[in-house]
Amino acid sequence: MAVITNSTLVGDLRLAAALSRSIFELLYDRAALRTSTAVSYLGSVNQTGSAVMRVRQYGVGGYTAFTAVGEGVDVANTNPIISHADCTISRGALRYDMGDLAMVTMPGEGMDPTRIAEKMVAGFDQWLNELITTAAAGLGTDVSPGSGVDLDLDSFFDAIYVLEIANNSAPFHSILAPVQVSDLQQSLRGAAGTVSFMPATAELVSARGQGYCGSLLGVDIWKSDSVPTANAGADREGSMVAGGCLGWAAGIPVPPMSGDFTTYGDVPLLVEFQRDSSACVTEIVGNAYSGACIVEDARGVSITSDA
Amino acid sequence: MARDFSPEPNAEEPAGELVSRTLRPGFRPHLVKRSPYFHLMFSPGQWEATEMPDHGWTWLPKLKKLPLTPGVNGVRGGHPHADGSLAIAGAQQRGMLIIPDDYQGGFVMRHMTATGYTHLHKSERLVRVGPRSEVRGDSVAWNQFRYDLVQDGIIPPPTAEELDLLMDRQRRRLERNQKAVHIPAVAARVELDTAKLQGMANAAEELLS
Repeated sequence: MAVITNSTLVGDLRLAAALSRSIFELLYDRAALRTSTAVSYLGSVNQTGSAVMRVRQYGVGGYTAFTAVGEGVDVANTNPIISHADCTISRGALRYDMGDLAMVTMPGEGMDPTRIAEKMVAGFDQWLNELITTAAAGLGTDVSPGSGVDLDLDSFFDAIYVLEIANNSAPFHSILAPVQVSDLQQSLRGAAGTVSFMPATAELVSARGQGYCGSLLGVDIWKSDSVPTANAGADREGSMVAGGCLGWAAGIPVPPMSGDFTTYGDVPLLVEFQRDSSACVTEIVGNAYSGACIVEDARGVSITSDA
Repeated sequence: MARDFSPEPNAEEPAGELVSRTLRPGFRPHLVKRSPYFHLMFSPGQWEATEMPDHGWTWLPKLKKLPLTPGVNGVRGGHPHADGSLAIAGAQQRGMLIIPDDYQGGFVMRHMTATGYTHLHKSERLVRVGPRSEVRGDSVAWNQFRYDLVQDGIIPPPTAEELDLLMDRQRRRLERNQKAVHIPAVAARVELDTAKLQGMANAAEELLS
């Protein structure tokens, strides 16, 4: 007597695989440095007449101290120090095309245009992370345990000293590559004396955003895999900065007249749905304009260590 | 500044000890991010002591990349290439010395990846490590390149004051750790740092004599 087995039915009366109701995202770095306290938002260039945001800087007040002047003697005029930093905006974009048949056959919820549009924010954040970390790598002063040497607590101390010597005030913020964070933690294990590392709790991550790792010696640490390489690929070039060192600016795309678009309250990003009827394809296109720059070099140091 | 995007000379074979397989001709490596053309720059006072096979302990300049990534530090987007003129001017205003693009006949190499071109220094290679492709640097070649920059007068040698500052930093590092040499890991680090400080002092003496 023939037994009706599942395997004999597959292809006709049974499915080879049933799709689970849940859909999982593949792993990626979820850090969003724009929400961190390490970077200042410089504003939007909308309706300013330029794609460059110029940060005005002046050294008055405490920048130049009073001098002793004799009674009845004219005090000399002081030229105030003025400077600027330019943040140039450029375009970043991401596009996915989805055929109609792929949408027609979609079982319930899945990878549909609306879902893809929602996820565009993470793509924007990755791009902006790259702009910010690349900008930070251009800082003029560098501390390092040596090229090809793992980041250690001593170099972290050195970075703090350099910032303090340059008159910076705490709190400091550090943006490191994942390997630098793990090397630093490894170095902590062999540290003598009392060194306080406060790892990020769920509440802290919730308050400070994804990528926050914790606080060491009062320095908030963010982790990003966008931190660039240095020294012919041997090292990663993270940074430690005080407030006002790094900035980012944006141009907020103007929504089109048509209704097929999505904007996001706190992200300068416009996602549009463009229909290519002749190809039966819906294009999901995200556009953003952003830039990052060093606002003041003396407020930060790069930290170069083994990649 | 003029840039040459013509195909680069065939890259040398990667060092055998680094990789499981060398890059196949025509293979487009995946998992390597594309990266833009870049300039190299030097920030005055930024030196590191490194032990070189031919020259012993030597002071070498720390170099930084100025990548032509639109939106970063003044780089403007453009077609077909980004415009880095403002970024270069900004870096120079901050005291950076830009290494001439044509030094040693050029040093930027272009490699094809799955997502586009990636630009690397000539001492870097794209290699396959198991299923992944990675960028690996030849530290000896990189150090020699930095050494040549000073020997050829592109970068002026460090001053005694600059080296004193860096050796002070190394001394502080030693002093911090010498209190805890009873911990084996710290003792090992102190030994390395002591040798490095001696190397720094010897290299400084040779350079300034």
